[in-house]
Amino acid sequence: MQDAPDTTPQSPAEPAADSAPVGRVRVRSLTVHQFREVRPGTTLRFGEGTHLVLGRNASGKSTLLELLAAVAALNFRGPFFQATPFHLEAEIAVGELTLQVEVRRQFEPVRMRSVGDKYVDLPPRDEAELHASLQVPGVLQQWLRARTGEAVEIFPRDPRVEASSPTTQQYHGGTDPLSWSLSHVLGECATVDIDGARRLHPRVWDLYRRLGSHPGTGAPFDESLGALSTIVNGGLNVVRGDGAKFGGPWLPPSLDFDAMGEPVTRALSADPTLRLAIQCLGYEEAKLHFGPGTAWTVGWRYASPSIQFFRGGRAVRRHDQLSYGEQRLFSFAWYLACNPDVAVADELVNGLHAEWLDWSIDALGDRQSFLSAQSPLLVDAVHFDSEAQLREGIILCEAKPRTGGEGHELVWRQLDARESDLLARAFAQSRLDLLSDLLHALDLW
Amino acid sequence: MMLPQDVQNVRVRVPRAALPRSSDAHGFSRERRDLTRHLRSIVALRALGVQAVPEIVDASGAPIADAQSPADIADVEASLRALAAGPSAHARQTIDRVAAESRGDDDEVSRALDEVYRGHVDGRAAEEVLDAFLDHVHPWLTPRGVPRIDRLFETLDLARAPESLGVLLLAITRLTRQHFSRRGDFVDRFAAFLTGRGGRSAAQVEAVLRGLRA
Repeated sequence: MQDAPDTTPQSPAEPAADSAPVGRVRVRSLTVHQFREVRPGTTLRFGEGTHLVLGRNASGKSTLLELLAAVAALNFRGPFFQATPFHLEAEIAVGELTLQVEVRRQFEPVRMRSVGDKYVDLPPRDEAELHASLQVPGVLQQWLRARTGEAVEIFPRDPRVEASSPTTQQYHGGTDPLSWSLSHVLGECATVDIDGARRLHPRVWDLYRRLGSHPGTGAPFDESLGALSTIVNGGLNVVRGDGAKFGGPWLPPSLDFDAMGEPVTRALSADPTLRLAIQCLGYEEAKLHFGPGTAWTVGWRYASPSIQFFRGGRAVRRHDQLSYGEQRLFSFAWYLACNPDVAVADELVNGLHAEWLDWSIDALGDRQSFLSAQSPLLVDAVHFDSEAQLREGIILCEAKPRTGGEGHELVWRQLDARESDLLARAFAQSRLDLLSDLLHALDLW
Repeated sequence: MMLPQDVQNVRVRVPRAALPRSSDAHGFSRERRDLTRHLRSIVALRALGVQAVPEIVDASGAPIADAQSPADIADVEASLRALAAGPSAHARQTIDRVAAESRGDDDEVSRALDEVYRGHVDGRAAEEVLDAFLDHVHPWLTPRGVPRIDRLFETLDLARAPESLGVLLLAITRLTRQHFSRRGDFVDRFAAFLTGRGGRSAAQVEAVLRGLRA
């Protein structure tokens, strides 16, 4: 296999997330007022560490994970949300800042008179409204309202509670709050008048910059090979040119590069998580290779890379020649490299030997994580330190017949005080029972 | 399942670090999983009629001669007997035992509160009633006493106790913001109880309870 020139810097900089995190993103709570079959009013509160999402098939585990991944990135334009009305609220901490976000999307029927008394139904109008409040303790509190196609407004008070005039109105042209990102919302909320100009509040600048370079994938690590497919089949798009630099959410910041149309090769060991994954897989190095960039309106576009794995100084495998488990572990490490703060993984255990599963859980590091599980292997590999962690960290999903109606609704909840107390005390008293066994014994899983 | 050739004498390695007496085995962690994995292997083999015996080994897998003491083996064997009916049955037994203890907690809490209610009805000074209550409750302020404290908050009938008992209860168990978030229902109940009593307004009650909300 021919090896393109290595454009890796001699001393690759460690990504900001691993050296000096400015402020970590944490999803503090999620309230679902409306989303498909989820019971309206469902509220979940989350802690810092690992959360296990448990339940039978079709109980909404994957749905919850998709919602959490979207909320962590504040982007609701993924395919999962296509043609779906919803109404969600979430609290997100970004370092010392707190963002309260409410986002609602509805489809308004459109009927147009055609000839005489006849009416024609047009495709419904896709309308979204996003409210956000940003609080920087003792420094700043502002409310934002953004509606599809309208000006973005900033208020000194919550316009949902108290009618007030916006302090600013900015029309961005074709406002689509569903396609924003966490850094976008933060930037809009934290814009203030400084010396007569609208500028980002200095207290928020570092966080804004970090979130801009670490936007997060906005989608969970899927239960199969979807992540790898995204990376190598067009989901990883990098645009480079004079003044243009778009990496996209699937390019780990540590692998960023400058190029002007020439082929690009990046050593993946530049990223600490990928380096460990490559070692875990038994290779010495792996390299990402883009062919020549294709001409793009603002420069060159790089997409659909291939990945080669090296042993003994020679390329011995391409990404599609790895085993299923190898592909899963490698693409999970890639996913983590793209998501330094919040990791969401569906059926992480799939295809992984118990040792690789342990490796994957260790690789989560201090991320806030949400992991669905059908297998005791995962449940018994996760570490919980306290009753409080158990109470926040176990999320039970169930499909129940709808009360007084037809069909089922998805009921999601966390352990109540009695359940978490029983679990914690059972753990303390017995050294022979595993969490999975105790959950079964309590008829919770 | 593929059986070992010598079914009369199969030695299953149990890492010394995973022995039941090791403190590592008590956490909510994978050390516990690793221990039970070894023990379950032995249980499964014995259920198939194999004479499986534990062999204590070090981290490298080498047998540790001095660990083969009767006490070590007895510990492992006790664990194996406990698991003989299967992991699910053992977990069920553990939960039943813990739940039974909780019922014991309920009795203790009822006793403490009945003392308070009786003292209040008898017209004893609130300070005296609360002193006795504190003596009763103080030993529960440990991690093991959490279920009793939780039960106190759930069952306290404010109308039958001195008004200050609610504040006292919150104060003595004041630990963290997270702790107060768990007491939200009680604080709401307490606020509703106090409002209007002794001419207190909602604002005055909130002033009293300020700092006791998450």
